[in-house]
Amino acid sequence: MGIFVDLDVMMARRKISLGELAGKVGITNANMSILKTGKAKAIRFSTLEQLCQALDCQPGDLLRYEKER
Amino acid sequence: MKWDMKHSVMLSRVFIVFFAILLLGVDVAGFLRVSRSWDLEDVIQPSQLMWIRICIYACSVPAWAALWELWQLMGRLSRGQVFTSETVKLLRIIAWCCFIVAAISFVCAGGVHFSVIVISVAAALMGLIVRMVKNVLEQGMAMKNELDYTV
Repeated sequence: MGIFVDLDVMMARRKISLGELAGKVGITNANMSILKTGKAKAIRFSTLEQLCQALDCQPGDLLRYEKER
Repeated sequence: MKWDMKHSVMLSRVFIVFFAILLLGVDVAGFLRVSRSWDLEDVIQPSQLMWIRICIYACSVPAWAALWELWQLMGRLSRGQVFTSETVKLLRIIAWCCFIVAAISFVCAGGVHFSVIVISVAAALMGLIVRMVKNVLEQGMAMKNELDYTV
């Protein structure tokens, strides 16, 4: 997939754990793990909004596009 | 009694058992040379009777296999495992069992009577319908996979 989720970087900057972030966003630890490990196939705008709110960042800080080779 | 999916699956299982009993009856009847007790020897020639037996026993194998796979399928449905690769595999096997029966009865039609080809056509059509259902379930599986990984 060409879209990558750089959750690790923002989580390290804000010093927040996976479980804590999952609780703030309102999704399960399992789903947060799916997102963090790059297994997610799609993300809802509502989830993205919650993530940006919890991490105090922009969507562009979390999502990165790379051309598939 | 409220009719729901659980009861529907149970009814399907009852039909499978009923069909298995029928199939067992056919297999035993073929062995017991039913034609003599039914006075069919005036109508059916010995060579035709041999082809009928060949058809019955050769078709029995894929029929029993299909019944077993159907039973497994009902088990999976009762556990909520609908859109899975295993379910798709079971449907694929059932479809091929139908096609095998179609092929066997097509060959036997030559030895028994041309009208037996109707069984071949019916079995082939059933196999085709099961394959279509398998394709639909495959699409459903892809959609479920997409949904499961939507955060």
